[in-house]
Amino acid sequence: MLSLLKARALHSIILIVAVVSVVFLTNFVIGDPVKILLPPSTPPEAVELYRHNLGLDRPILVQYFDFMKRAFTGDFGDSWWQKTPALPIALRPFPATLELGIVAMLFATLVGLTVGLYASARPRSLVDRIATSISFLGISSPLIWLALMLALIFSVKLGWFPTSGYGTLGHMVLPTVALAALPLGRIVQITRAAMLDELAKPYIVTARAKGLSEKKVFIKHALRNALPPIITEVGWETALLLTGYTIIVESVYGWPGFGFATYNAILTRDLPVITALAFVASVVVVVINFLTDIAYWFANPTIRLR
Amino acid sequence: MSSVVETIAPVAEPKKRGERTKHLFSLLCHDWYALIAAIVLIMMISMALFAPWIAPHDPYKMDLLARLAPPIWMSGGNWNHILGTDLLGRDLLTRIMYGARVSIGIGIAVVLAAGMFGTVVGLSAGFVGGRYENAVMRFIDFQSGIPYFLMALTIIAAVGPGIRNLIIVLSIGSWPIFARYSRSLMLTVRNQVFIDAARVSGGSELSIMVRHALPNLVSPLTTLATLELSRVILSEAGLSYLGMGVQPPQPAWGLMVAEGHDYVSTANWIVTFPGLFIMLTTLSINIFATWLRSATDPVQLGRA
Repeated sequence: MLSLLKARALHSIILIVAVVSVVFLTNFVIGDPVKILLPPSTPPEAVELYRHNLGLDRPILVQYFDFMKRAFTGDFGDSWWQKTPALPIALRPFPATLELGIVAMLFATLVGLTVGLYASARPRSLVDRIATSISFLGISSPLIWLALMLALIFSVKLGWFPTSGYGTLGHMVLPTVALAALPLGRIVQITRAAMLDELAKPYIVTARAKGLSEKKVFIKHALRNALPPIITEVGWETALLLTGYTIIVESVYGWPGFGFATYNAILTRDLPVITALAFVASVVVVVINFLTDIAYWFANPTIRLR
Repeated sequence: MSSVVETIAPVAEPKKRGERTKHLFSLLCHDWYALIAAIVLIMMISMALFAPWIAPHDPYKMDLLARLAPPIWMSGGNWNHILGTDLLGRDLLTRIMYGARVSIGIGIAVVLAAGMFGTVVGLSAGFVGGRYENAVMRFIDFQSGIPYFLMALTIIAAVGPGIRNLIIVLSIGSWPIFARYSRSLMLTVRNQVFIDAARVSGGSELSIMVRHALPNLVSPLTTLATLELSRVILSEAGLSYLGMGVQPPQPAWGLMVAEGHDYVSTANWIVTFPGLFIMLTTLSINIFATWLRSATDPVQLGRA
């Protein structure tokens, strides 16, 4: 078990280093950041001095190794715009996005699982048809349009929720619903398909023949075996939501989150902040992959962890 | 139950190509949802193809006197602009028709590029196996570890926005799923008896892969490509909204939704209609793909 964790940790560190490196190096292709930082009328000597002060006049490889050495101690340098350490700037908007992502995924998973289970219990019934229609609508709605339509109907026309902002429970409802729509639709479809696959297998006949209640057959036997693809989907969607995908919803509802921070940092070419954001995002991916594997193991303890 | 048995039987019989197409068509006519989805899709594609001939106006022509005109069923609307006009007085219906070319065109281009690349990589990985397969799968794992949104924005910031770069970025995000899926399909096909038979009768590895294995993978891969098409159209809308995709004044559905953002409370039709067209298209694609899977895969019959 311990050697397993060691191998796992090593893999994770390699992944994080690789992602941060790729992002750092890609940013050198973008072009001279100093051109954006300084007004166009700046005299050339001042530009050179500025480049020198930021260390941008050194060879790229020197800059890269210097950066990596400091990054390992948690120092990504100071933001070029705000002149404060980059890592806190990258971490500050994360809780807001975490809130949004976790609540949206909890909602999508609970509702999606329940609806998918009911649909698979009575395939081709009215319940199943309604569930299938909802799931199709969920996976087909463009996020930006859905967010704007929800704001139009429930904030502007009906006035039930505030149009934008952050802080209260009321602010949370619309962004969460918009973000949950697509994962919810996928989870319904995957749950239904996986359950129908399982319910057709011989061990279900055995379980029923033993006289188990239908509820037990469903939850304890079939659902347990149907879980792996559902876990994969939940993990994948959660990672997407927590690493910046929420930007569209954040910008419609004025939510001060991680996506917004990423978007701004890339637009202003704030390299220290971009790399710090990449670091945070890849740590999130690694943690979610780990939690996903633990969830697989809980669903089926006979799986060997790799 | 009996209906399932009845529908399985004709599919299981080997059929000539023409007959199979006819059979698929008659299956389609029996499924209302799928039939409507197919009709909507055909309409969207013909709208895209024939936009220059059927559009009532010029998509770029501004008319500031007619700006923010509402659609005809609202008070103040007129027949000149059936769906109203946008903030620069351009006809919305015309721009939606031209936007179909861009949005659907980008979707198809990405699915073709990513689909072909991913399928070739995945099939060869599954067929050859060994170290090559290992390396490919490792790389895919690495790529899925990179937060896609950050990667996409960084690449576009590096190479600049625009349709061609948008296609590249979306393809980079899309090819792994084709590679993974076609590899897993190849693994199940590789061990079947007819492949051994082909090998025993002296077929070369390449001819076995192309002539015997590939035809068995066509229908599941078509389904995957259709589903990906809907996902790509949605991503394109998102990136264009962020200013990282199609650039104004070109009409694209996602961009049009973005342009109406600030007018959503006063002139909501600028947002509503382009978004509605995206949704109709992706909804039809998803319904049609689900039907296609159940119609071409005997195991899935009676499920959809």
